[in-house]
Amino acid sequence: MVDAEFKLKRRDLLRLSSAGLLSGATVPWFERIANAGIKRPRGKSCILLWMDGGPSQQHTFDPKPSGEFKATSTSVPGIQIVEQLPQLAQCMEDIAIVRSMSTEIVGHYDAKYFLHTGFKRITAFEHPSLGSIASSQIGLPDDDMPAFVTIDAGFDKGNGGRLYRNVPAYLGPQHAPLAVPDPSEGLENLLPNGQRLDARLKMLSRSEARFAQEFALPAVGAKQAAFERAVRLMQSQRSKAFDLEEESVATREAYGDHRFGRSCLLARRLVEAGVSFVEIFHRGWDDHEGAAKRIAARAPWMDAGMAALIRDLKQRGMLEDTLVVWMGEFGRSPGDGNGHFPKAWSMAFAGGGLKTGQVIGKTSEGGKNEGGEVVERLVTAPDFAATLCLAMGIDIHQELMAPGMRPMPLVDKNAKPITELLG
Amino acid sequence: MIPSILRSVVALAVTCGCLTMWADDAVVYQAAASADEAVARIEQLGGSVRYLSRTRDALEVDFQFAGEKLTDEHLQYLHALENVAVLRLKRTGVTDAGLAHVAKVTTLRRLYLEHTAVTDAGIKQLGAIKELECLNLGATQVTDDGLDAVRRLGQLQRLYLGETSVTTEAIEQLQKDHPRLSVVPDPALERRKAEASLRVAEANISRTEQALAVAKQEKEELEPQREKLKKDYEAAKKLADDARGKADAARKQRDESKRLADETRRQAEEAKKRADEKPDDQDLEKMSAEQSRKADETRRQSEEAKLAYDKLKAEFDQLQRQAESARQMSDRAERANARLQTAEEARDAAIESAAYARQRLALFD
Repeated sequence: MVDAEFKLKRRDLLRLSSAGLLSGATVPWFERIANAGIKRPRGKSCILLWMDGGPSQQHTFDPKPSGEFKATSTSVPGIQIVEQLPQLAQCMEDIAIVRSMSTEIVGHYDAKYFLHTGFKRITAFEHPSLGSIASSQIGLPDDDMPAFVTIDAGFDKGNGGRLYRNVPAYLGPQHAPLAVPDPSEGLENLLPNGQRLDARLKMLSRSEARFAQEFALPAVGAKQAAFERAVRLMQSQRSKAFDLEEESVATREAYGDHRFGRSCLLARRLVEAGVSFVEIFHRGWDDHEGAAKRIAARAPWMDAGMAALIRDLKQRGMLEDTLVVWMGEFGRSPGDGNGHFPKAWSMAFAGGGLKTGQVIGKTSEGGKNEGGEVVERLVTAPDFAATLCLAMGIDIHQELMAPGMRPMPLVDKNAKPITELLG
Repeated sequence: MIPSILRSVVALAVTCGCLTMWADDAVVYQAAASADEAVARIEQLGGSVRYLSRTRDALEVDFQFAGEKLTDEHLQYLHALENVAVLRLKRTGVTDAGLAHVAKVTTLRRLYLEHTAVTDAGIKQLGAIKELECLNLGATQVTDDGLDAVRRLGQLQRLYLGETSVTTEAIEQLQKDHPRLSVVPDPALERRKAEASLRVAEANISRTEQALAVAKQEKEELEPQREKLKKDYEAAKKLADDARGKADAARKQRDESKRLADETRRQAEEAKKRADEKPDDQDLEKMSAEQSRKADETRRQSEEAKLAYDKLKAEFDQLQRQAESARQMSDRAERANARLQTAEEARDAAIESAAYARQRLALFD
């Protein structure tokens, strides 16, 4: 192995990073980049189950005696969740619940931004989402499969404000996600139509080459690279990952006859095929007219889908390398769950080599406003982002260049990752 | 001249054609002289070599997407690399012969052989990889017999045997002999979990059925009375409002009487003081007596007004409580139908949940 004397100045490194041409300047393997194909560290994949609108914690993972839903014991003694989630209850040794999320922001979009990026929204520029970060830090730049995919798992109520739009920001446009609008349709609506694709692509590439010569901007190169990647995906055998029909009937039944379950199954297939970050979003958890009725209706498919996913990953030996994350942008008011409640809410991790089978943090017990505040181990949005990135094997202290030539760390410098979870 | 050029062109085209075909079908094994070359050839096959993490030297070699292109011979590339800790061979063309090469990679910690043609014979060679922590034999032809080699791996923590014909008994025995070893899936454990889930789900059905029965009964009793209960409430509210009006009036009266009583008392005290200052003045004495009499009168009236108010207030409170009761009843009747629907949905959801749980348990029959 050749150890090249290859040290760029920090300014140059950051400039190259912002062009999306390179990242990971301070890692040991970088020095060997002169060495053929040993690629950047694999890290772990992540499947984010985004429950848009703010799911009620007392109706899911933090039941209270005074609450509307009662608790059931799980496969881990001492941990209880709502009785409406019987299969997830039996997956508890692979799940870690964080009950002490506290994120201040009560408005939908700002809160979604906060939890997707680890930073508060500002006017100066946009921050990259965690999925884009994963794509840029762990994904392989010239792989057949996209590094970041989002899947629309539908909605039962069109509420919760507009959906968060994942942006790669200063990481470069090649780290925007590939969006799957319907897991049952798979790649269908992304396939080209018409004949003679090769000839058309050749023509396109010639004119693109002329354009690139005249306007040699990083964005241009990146956009072309993304297009080329899309074409490569269409031509690759690995794109079969998008086809759920390849799974047995038994497997598809286990994930549940609902778009959420199908999304989970697709996510598993995509991770198997090499995708680093899959975000599944389901709309409608913004239950201002009472959470009990609505969550009772959602529980069957959420239970079946998420439990099937965890179990399937585990039985294939994938769980230790795949993080599953369940969350929304905040929780809901104690009791009936009618209002937004960022002060004290729950999220859950599974797999990813984390120390699962435990609960992190606690909300208040007893009294008039049971569960109304965090009493143990408060976790903020930056703390969560840091934890997720570290679990995936990403260097959170790395800095990249944001607009205005300002170096930005991937995660807020004051973030305190949940070390009790990380190995 | 033209024919010879044509021949060259055709020859070139044919060669190119062959090379293209060749590249698609098979990549011939060529010994690698260095690590770099090994990595390049691995990539040519469609594999990849990556560091496991940012801070450690350990390598992961991943042939998963090479498929049938990866043959036993190619595994020799591993010997040109240092510190290969993870090897992924899922769905590749590796056979028992290839495992001989793999067995020499003593740095291996994790080995993935799912969906390959390896058998017990090949698996037995893996005993040489002393530090192996994780072994995935899912969807292979491993049998109870092949587990013998596995027993000897002292560091093994995770063994994956999904979709194999390894028996439940063999797994139980293995777990007994190696408490630190986790066999996934463990059929006995999975069955117990499925049973536990179903129990909770069925309890949910009972609970929601009961709540539904109550909601049905309420609807049957109350719905026909909706109009009546609404009218009852309106009537009760009117009575309460009237009583409030009367009580308010009485309160004003009480306050007014009190004010008057206080005023006259003050005047009486004033008059008495003046009379005491001049004991010989008959007029002052007369006035004082008059004021005193007035003060007594107004005091008595004030007390009467207070009692009158208290009585009317108590009546109002009573009627208010009755009106509130009537409102709740009316409300229950109004919402009886909605509550029934909610109860039905909750019961249906419980049934759906239990169906999934039952479906899961059925896999173990």
